[in-house]
Amino acid sequence: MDIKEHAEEVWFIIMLILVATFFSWNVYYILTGKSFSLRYGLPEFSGLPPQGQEAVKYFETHPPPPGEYSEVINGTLVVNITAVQYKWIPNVIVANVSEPVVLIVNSPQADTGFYLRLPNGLININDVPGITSYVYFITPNQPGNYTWYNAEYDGYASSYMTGTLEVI
Amino acid sequence: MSIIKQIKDTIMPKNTLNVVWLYTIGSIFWLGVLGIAAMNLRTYLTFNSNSPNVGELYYSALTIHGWAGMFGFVPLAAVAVIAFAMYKSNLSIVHTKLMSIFFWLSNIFLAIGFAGSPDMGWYMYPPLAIESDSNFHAFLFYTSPALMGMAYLSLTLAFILQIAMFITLIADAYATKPRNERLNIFGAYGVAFAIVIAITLPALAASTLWYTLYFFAGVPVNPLLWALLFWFYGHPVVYYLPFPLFGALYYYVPKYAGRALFSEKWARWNIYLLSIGSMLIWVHHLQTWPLPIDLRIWVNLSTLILASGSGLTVLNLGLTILLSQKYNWKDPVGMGALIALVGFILAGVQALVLPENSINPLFHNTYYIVGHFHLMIWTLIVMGFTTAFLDMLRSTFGGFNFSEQASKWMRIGMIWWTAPFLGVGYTMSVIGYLGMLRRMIAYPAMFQPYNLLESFLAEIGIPGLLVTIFVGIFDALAYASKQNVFSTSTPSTPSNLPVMAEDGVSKNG
Repeated sequence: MDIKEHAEEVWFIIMLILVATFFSWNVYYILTGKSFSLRYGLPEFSGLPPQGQEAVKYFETHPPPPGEYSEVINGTLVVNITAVQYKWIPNVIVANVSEPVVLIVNSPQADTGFYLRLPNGLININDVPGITSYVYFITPNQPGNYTWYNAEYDGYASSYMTGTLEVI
Repeated sequence: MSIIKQIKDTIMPKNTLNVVWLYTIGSIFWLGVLGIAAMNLRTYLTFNSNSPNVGELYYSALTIHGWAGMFGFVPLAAVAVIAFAMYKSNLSIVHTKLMSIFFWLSNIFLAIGFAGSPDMGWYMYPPLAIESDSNFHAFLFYTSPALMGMAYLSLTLAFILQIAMFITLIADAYATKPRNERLNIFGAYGVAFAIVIAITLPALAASTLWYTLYFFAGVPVNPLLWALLFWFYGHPVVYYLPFPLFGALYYYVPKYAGRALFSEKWARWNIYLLSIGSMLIWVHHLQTWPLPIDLRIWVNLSTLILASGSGLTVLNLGLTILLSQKYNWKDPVGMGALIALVGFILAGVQALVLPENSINPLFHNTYYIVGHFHLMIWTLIVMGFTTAFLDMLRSTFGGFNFSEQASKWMRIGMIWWTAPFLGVGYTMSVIGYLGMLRRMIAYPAMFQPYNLLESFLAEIGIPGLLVTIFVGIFDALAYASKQNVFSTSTPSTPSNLPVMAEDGVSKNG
């Protein structure tokens, strides 16, 4: 076989092999749980680490008193947060430095997005009516105030739907 | 042939080229609407702390910008390019009357939707798009359920008519394909992607039909399922125009490189990769949404398949140019094809990081994405479409070629347009990476200088496109006037001189 005659076929197949290899590598990392951000970064209950899942289960069976939205469970701050047009309830979260935080996010009126940039990473998830989204992160190791935004358009005052994470 | 007859033949086309022109003019109309809306948006964005009262006006302009682009410009321009590809491939549109009826009716139905001043964003996510209360009105002027239902019904009918356009193109291509003859690459891409459009556009019609049924029959709307259904259309729509334009690049680049395409086989196999990829990729728009891992894995694969097809296109066209003796960039069509290709590379590079699940949240809903897809639009789509448009002028006025002076100004115009908009696209991506979110009328003050720069560069770039198009049109008209094309008097030129391409078409069809 003259390779030159079949160069087009050969490269086309090599290209598909490259795609298949890269894809298989991805799947391997996801299925074995080696890909932290894929397994644990999803805005789903299954995306929370085990201690986060336990904290959420406890929070749901032992909710905080009316008017309060958060409690610390085994060292994890769990916050039940709701997005409505056009505010977050609550719109202030107070947490300690280096504290694990779980957010239980509901958005009953419209699709919204929770977007928070921290020095140690970025959280960007969407909240869909009828589906609860979950977020897990560890607060920065330095005190400071961090603003979160609504990254999904949900009406005229979307841009003003902000909240503050106070790390103390 | 009188100018009145020319206009009449464009309004009610009688041949393939007439259809091309009708749809081209329609698409340019919507391009104008979306451009005017865009410049309004950019004006507001130069302020970092607009009042919430700006919201109604801003988001109406934003939605009209998106709708005019996605529901008006893209499908009509896609028909124009595909019909032109058919013309260049010795295929004809037989049902010209039908194509004319579809054009006018679909635009009337679209206009009814626009008249309500929609402000829910172009992708109309529920429940926002069906909300009308003290917090929000999905349409500023259609505030009752009956009017909102009517608007969505109107849009549904417009989309069904658009589907019918592409089915007609496919049927006519099949009916007029010369037997035992291979379509040229432009025609093959045009017809193949007419099929992709005919398969995916029904998802949009179904999405708006769902809203119609919500208002008129009380059918509940599931927000997640609706979004999944919508993006089955919403992703491929971004290829409706680029992929037929890939066919154009495969056709023009070798022509101006003075050699055969590096690999005709790659170009033809690529149709399968691009078709399959474009239809199965849609969930990658929802990577920050609560969706299961299996679906994410699948989307990662289909995106890679598509990316490999796009990469192969670049390699194929790039090698064609690099292995040529000399690329004729002095011809405006050659220049346009080159800019479209280079622009596709520059805009495509920005997208490389996006399909990866773990990286996507860095960019989702930020200006990074806006910069990426707009750059793709400004280069591949606008410059690619301009390239086809200039060749349409040549094909229409038989024997016509652009004068040296006009060619020079068109080349200047193309660079005048592209260079500033490259600046806008990359500036958008930089501020997106730094945290500037989309659809914001109030944003952190640090982004204001960047937004001023973007608006300034956009203002500089727009005249470049106008120069290119109008110089091309006037040069063609100047030629035509010498041929008595628009005069009722007896032509003073020899009777066998090629005039309007009506005859080229009858010969062609």
